[in-house]
Amino acid sequence: MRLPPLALPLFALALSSSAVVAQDGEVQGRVRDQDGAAVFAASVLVLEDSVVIRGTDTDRLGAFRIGSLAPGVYRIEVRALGYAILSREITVSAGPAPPVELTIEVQPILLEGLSVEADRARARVRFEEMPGVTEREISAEEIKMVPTIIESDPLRAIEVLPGVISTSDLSSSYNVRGGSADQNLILLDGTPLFSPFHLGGFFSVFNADMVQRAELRSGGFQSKHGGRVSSVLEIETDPGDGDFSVDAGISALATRVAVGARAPKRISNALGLTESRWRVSGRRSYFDLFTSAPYNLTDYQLIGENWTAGGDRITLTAYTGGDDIDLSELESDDVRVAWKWGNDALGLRWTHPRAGGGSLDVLANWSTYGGSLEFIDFAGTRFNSRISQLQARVDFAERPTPGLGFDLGASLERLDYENLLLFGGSDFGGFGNGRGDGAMMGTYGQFRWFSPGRLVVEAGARLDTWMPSEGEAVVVPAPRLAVKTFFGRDVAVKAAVGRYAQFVHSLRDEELPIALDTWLVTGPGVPHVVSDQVQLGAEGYVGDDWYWSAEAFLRTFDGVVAVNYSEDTNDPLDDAVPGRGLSYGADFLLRREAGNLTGWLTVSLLKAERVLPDWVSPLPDPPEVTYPPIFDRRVEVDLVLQYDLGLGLDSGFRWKYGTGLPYTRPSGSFRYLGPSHVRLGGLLAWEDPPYAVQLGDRNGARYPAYHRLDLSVRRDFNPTWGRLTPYLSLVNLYDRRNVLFYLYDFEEDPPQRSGFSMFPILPTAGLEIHFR
Amino acid sequence: MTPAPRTNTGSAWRNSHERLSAATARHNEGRLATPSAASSADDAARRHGRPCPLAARGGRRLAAAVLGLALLIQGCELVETATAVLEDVIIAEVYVHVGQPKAGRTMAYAFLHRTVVGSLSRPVPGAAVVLTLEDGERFTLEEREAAACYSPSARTGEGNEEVVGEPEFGTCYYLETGAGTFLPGAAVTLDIALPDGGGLAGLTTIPEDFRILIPSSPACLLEPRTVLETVWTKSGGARAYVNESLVYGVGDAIDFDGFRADDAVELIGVTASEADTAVLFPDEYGAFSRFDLPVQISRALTGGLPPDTEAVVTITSVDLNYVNWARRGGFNPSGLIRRPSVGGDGTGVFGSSVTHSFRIVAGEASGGIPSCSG
Repeated sequence: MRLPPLALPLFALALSSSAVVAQDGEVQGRVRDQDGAAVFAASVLVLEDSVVIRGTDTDRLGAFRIGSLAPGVYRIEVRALGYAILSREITVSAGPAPPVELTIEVQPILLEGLSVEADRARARVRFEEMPGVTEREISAEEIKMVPTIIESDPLRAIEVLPGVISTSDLSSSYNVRGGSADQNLILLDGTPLFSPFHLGGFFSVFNADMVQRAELRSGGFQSKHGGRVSSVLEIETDPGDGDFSVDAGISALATRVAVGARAPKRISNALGLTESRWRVSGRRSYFDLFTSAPYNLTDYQLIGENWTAGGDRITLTAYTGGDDIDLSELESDDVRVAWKWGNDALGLRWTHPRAGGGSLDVLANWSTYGGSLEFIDFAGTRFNSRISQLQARVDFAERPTPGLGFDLGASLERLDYENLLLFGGSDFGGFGNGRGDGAMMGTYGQFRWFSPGRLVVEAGARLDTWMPSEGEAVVVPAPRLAVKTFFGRDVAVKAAVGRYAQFVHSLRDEELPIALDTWLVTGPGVPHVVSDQVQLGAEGYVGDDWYWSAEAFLRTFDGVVAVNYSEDTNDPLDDAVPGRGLSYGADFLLRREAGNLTGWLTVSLLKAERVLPDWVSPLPDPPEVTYPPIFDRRVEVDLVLQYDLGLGLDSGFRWKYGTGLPYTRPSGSFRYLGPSHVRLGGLLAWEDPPYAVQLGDRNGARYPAYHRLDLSVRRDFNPTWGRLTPYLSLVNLYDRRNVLFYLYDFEEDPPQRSGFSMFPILPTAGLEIHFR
Repeated sequence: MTPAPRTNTGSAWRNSHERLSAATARHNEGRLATPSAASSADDAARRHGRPCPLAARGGRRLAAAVLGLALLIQGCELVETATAVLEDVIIAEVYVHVGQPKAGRTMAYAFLHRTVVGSLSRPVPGAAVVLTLEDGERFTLEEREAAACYSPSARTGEGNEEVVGEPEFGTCYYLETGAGTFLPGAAVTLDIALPDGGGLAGLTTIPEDFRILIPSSPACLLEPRTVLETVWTKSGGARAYVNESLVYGVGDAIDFDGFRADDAVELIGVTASEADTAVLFPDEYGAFSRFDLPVQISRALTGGLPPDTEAVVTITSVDLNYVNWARRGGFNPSGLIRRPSVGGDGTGVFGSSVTHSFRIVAGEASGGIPSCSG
């Protein structure tokens, strides 16, 4: 699909209009706390005669910029969670304004509702200034209020966002708008994590106590984002406010603790810093300590945030964690096994503020995911899988006027993987030599222009060059354009088109409820994914409290891969089969952002298909088969409510409905035999297990509809030393038996269908403790 | 052996390939055009839940560790009745084995049966099974009793054989020839004419012959507790080598109560690709079997054979059809998925193989048997 060449005319329009805007005045500057650290997401409001006429929020560097102000005297007000309100008079003159430095003081007593107000202000800024990207944010508070399984989980929380499909209670993996799970880019403070899951997807690796917010871009994302084609999820770690604090929790799964403080001033000053704060956390499951279960999971995370007098921000993020099944010390009759897998990541970021709200952002990070499975008693039998990425990137943002911005950037990545499947001394790992690597250079440029209340245009292009160590280089030019136009103050219509590219794949079979990822990179026999995407939508506000959005989308996916279960063992390059995909649908969102009762209703419509060689065909060159992938949920409805019950009690409510997911129904089974050469001279012998299935049309049947109601209640107690929050969660309140999978038994007469359901009613309780 | 008349119609291979394509297409069209009886039956199915058997599903600790938490909090079994009407499909398991049932002979057979219906046996008598060589020479397989193709017994984890299968649930079509008929490297086509007028087709290319290099003699003496790297030459066109061994005397050698004196441990393993022509004996043998063996036995067969034991070993090079039918496919909770190589009005495999064997005796040097190491 080719994109229309609209960028140049729109760019000309942007320049001509910006000249008009430049006749107005503006106010710009930074918001910092008394320690010199920038205050992120502070609401900056401009008031005229006590009426808010304009507003925005601060970025990571505390910067803000508000234009289109007629010269005159205004009052500026700054609000931020945990800080006292700052109110100050300012005089606006025509033309560019010098930056103002605003310092706000920590307020020990939190203002009720300010958190909601801050979220609402950011949402409003996105509505007014962001053209095409579909960006949804979930705050730390919302993550904890969405009823969930056992303990709060950011990845399970984003399941309730429009366009996001989760196929199983057993997995926190997700699919966005018809994309595969491996097409979601998951970033921890800008550092990618390949498979941020425990227990094959059961839980994510993210400790909710360390998360400040999660932001999902489910479509129309800008040129600066590369590497995945379906969505970008940014998890931002909360560095704390610098005061000593301890957050601890215990759930049915694990215990966790997070400690935060600031470095002594003499140390930070010696390093040329005005403020240096950090938080470190650990989480570990505990059932192996009290039972004979040989399994445990661990997560350790560190965030360090440092500020210079000039407002530069330097952060260090580190994560290590994994799962460990250790049966290596057994002396009994059991098979001895040592099985480990997990992620490690390290990221260092320096962000330098520039006048007018621009910045220079330099990031270096490393991330790896891998695992090993070893059978102690079986010589020559072990499985290893690993993928690593080393990345350096620079992003430069320039804001010459309040309504005009330019972004330029480049990244350089090195990806390498190694997969080994050694079985009885023979290497079944495949994919060439079981390893591959390559380098990717991504460059982009984009501009954004907006005239408040009239038009927002963002146009850009990205150029991704993938250079595998073997095979030919791949160059993918990826133009992107987004336009939003407003009808009055509260209604906008938007459109976005773009091309996206991806050079890594996971071969995890998404039809398995729980599974581990096996990654590989583009190279000989492994294509790259190119996805062309269009989305059209409208959004708006009804009053100040209600937000609505409706978007339709169309996506193509060329170069998706699946495991070739009938690969030729003599051909090292046919282990993955290439195919293509298509998805289209629409998302609807209605959200109430203030009041005692808040929450949202989403309706997601989707039709997805994949076209791949039919590997169960008897033909030597199998024909293609078109089928709905496991995540082809045609309709999904999520209703999420949060209600203040009074007396310090907060309640969360979630009801999810989804039409049935596809599965392949067997049409019969047959006794499976195999030749025995040593015992029977080549005659057929009874095999174990003894039955094979004759399959019907691929994913031609559907499970019954899924629905589930969850409730949660939390209560804060505030003793002098901190806060104590017990919580109770009830998952699947009315005990709906949602089908996990069916089992067909043709040995019975008549044949019987049985199966397994997902979670029954599941009460869980836990406790969170905050010391300071 | 019943040689069939030669045909004058071009390349039998190409014809068979075309027939396979046509037969498969015809069969698929039929499936697509026929409303699925299963759907309506499924829709009419009544479903009811029963209490969650939270602790009912045991298993080994590994499985418990991986899925323990998941099973603990789900594991609710759904039971339904009156489910799908099954599709009646003919299964054709057809092989050409060079070097079997013994060295110097070639065996071809087709075992025809059907998808199961309850416990009913479902043979397919009256079919005409024809194999055709590239030069057009045709061979018709003779209908025999099921036991000519198939043994219902299996070797258990304790080493003894038990009858686990039905003795008669299919129909055997059999042919045994001398070494010069189906030559390694030859392409063979399969045509099955069913009594109801339907047909199945397939093609295979027999892997090229190979030689066992180590051990260099059909029987050799290996010092106990010593491993031996067994090596053979490449079999061109092979997609895997199946290594099988029967090890006698292990139970007595390690004084393991579960084995009788004459019991044998069966080890089945495989190496992938035609180039993978070496396996360490006995450590790397039996990768597929060792999960089912008592751990004591598995450990006893690591680092060499125990004294006074003996192993019969076969190395079999197999074609891609054979591999595709033997290996596991994608995930389906109801059973194994196999990639067929027989198409048309049914499914199945048309595989081919070449087998060589040798014997290893674990004991001190004696005059009669040469040493395995050279």
